[in-house]
This record gives sequence, structure tokens and C-alpha cells, in this order.
Amino acid sequence: MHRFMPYKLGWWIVHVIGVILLFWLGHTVTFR
Amino acid sequence: MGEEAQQLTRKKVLRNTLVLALFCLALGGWLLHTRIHSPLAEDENLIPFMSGIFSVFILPILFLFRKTIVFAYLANGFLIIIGIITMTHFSIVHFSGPLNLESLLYNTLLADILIALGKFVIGKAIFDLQFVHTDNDIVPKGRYFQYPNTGFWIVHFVALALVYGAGNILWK
Repeated sequence: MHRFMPYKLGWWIVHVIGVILLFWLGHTVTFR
Repeated sequence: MGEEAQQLTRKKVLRNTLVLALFCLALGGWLLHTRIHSPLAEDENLIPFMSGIFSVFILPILFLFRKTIVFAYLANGFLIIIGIITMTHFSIVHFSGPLNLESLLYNTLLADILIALGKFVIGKAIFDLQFVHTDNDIVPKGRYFQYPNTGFWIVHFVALALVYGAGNILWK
């Protein structure tokens, strides 16, 4: 099993994209 | 391949049983979802519909192979975290009645959240099973908050909830 190294490029890409998508999701979903 | 390699081990039988449980829970949850929110009715319902297809038909298969089990474990965990956050959001928006134990139990999606949580636990069991070799395997101490331990999921649940909440509150 290869390790997903913290604070390396791949880790940053995944986290930045994840935060943007989730922030957008929170903005978009209203349930009204 | 020798005869021994083709025989089923107890570990594989247990793994297959858990994968079947995962499939049943995912299918049940997906059918509940499509009954309430038809994907034909609204575009917004397409997101749970599509993630349902992934959870029911693709995730259980990914849990079967050593090469894909890490991806399956992460995808299962994060889909469930997002599901729990959105269902909690839905419960807050649609909450009615007095704030007491009865309405918290029955006027919210707590039941659905618990089903999703059960699916997470089964996914973790399948993942952890691959490290079982004998009856006496010791669990290494420490690193609770690091992948793939439970603390990793708690940290990510809190972090995802904060980012989702920020998106909902700060950006109108």
C-alpha cells in the first residue's frame, strides 16, 4: 500500500479542490 | 495455480459477507432516496442519485480487490460524511415542533443518518479485515488521528462540516 504523504503536492491539490467543492456545495444546497 | 490457492478462506468468506451487507445497505438507502426525491423531478436530486449508483454498484466491487480497497475505503467514508452533513442540514431547515428528545428522534433524519453510519462502520470492517492474519494480531498504539484510524474520520467530519457550514452561511 503506497502512502499518501501529508503536505506534499498531491495532498495540497486534493485538499484545496476538496475545500472549494465543499464550500460550493454548502453554498448551493439550500433545501428550500 | 494450486488447489489451495483456489479454496476460499474464512477471511474471504467474512469479507464477502460484509461486502454483501454493504451492498444491501447502499441499495436500501438508495431506494429510500429515490422514493423521496425522484431524479426525474428535480436536477438537484441527481447528485444523491448518481452517488447512489456509485455506492450500490461500484463501491462493493472496489472493496473486493487489494488494489482498489484504499480508494473504496476513502470514497465510502467521504460520501457518508457528506451524506451525514447534508442530512443534518436538511433536518435543521425542516425542523418543526418543540425542541425535545421526541422531535429530535422522529422529526429529523436521525434514523437515515444512523443507517449511513452503519454503512461506514461496515466499510471500515472490510478495510481492517485485510490486516487480520492470525487470532492474536495486536493493534498498533498511537496515531489515532492519522489515516486510516477512526480519529482521521472524526477530524475530517468536523473539518468538512465547518467548510460546508461556512459556504452556507458566509456566501449567500
